[in-house]
Amino acid sequence: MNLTIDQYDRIEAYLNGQLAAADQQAFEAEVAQNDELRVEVATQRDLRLGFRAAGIEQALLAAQQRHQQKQPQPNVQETGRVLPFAGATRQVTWRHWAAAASVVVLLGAGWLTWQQQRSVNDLTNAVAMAERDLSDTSFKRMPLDSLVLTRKTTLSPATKQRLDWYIALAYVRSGKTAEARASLTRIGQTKGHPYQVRANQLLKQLP
Amino acid sequence: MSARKPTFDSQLDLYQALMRRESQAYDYIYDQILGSFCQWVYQRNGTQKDAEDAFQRGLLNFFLNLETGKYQFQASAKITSVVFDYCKKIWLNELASSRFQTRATLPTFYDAADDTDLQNDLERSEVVDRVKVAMQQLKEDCRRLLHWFYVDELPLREIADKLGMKESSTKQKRFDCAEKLKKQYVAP
Repeated sequence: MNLTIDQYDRIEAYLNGQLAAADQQAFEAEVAQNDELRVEVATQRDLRLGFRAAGIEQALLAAQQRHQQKQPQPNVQETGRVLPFAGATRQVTWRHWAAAASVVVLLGAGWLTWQQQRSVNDLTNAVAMAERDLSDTSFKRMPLDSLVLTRKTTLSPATKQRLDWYIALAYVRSGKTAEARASLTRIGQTKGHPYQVRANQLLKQLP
Repeated sequence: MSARKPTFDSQLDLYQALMRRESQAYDYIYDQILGSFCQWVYQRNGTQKDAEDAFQRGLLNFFLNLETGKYQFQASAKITSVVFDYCKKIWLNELASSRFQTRATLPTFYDAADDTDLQNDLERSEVVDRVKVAMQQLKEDCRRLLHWFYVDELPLREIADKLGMKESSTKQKRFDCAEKLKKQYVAP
């Protein structure tokens, strides 16, 4: 529905509870009669929910930063022992990734030597094939930096996983093969990741 | 120099301060809960990162419910206990997801899938994420204007001053940008 600025203001006043009782009743009666208007109000309510969440997230981030400033090394000093999993997991993960990255770089170099003649079209086709059955067009159209930013700020693990995939595809498209390979490897090695199989397929087709 | 530790005389004071997003109230929640919640997650196969993520998501769910009236003040309920419960449910739901099934044993007394409140909160998170994505697709000037008005809640006059525009033009621009956002949200 294409709104006028007056209609927009009226919906906004309604959602903010700023209409007088009689106006509110009249508006609700109108909404009950008009499907388009009902959808419009629902959409505007969603958008305001998103704004509200962004405001809360902003306040949470500030609180988190203040908390971290007060407690520079909470893991070791507060409890008097290194807490299980946290540090250890990160160290092991880092070492594994460092080793994996080295292997990937070596393999990648070998591949480059062997596959120099491979057509660029193959890769384009591979990306197109990978994308063909994806319905999330918003992620498909987002530039790489927006995808990375959204990945950083999103709280939903499911959305994070979708973004991991689209970030990997964006790397492939922009010719950042090393980054693409690292992203795809990470997805391919994550058990239960919704794009695990596709990531491994695409990985095989990278030059 | 030592920072003053926030305290609240009553649960109602804390509730009202959280409603107003007062930084002291947010700090109080962090100070009271984060440490013990992290310990709780460590004991249930989680890392520090897992604990922090679940904590942030639990807090967001709680504050959204608080601000939208879904969570009403109850004199008998300790707010920190309620918030802790929100965060716990997030982690239990994570444990139940396929991502973590191999690394954890789930408690038998709680099934996140049957928790309607939690599932509603998670569905709402999807809406929030979609709005976030739609915002990212706007041009910088629109994104900034909408953020100032709707997130930072700056008055239109102040935004007009920042942009060096008339207030009426700023209002029109806000409307234009909101329409663009809607288009991105509805048909990305």
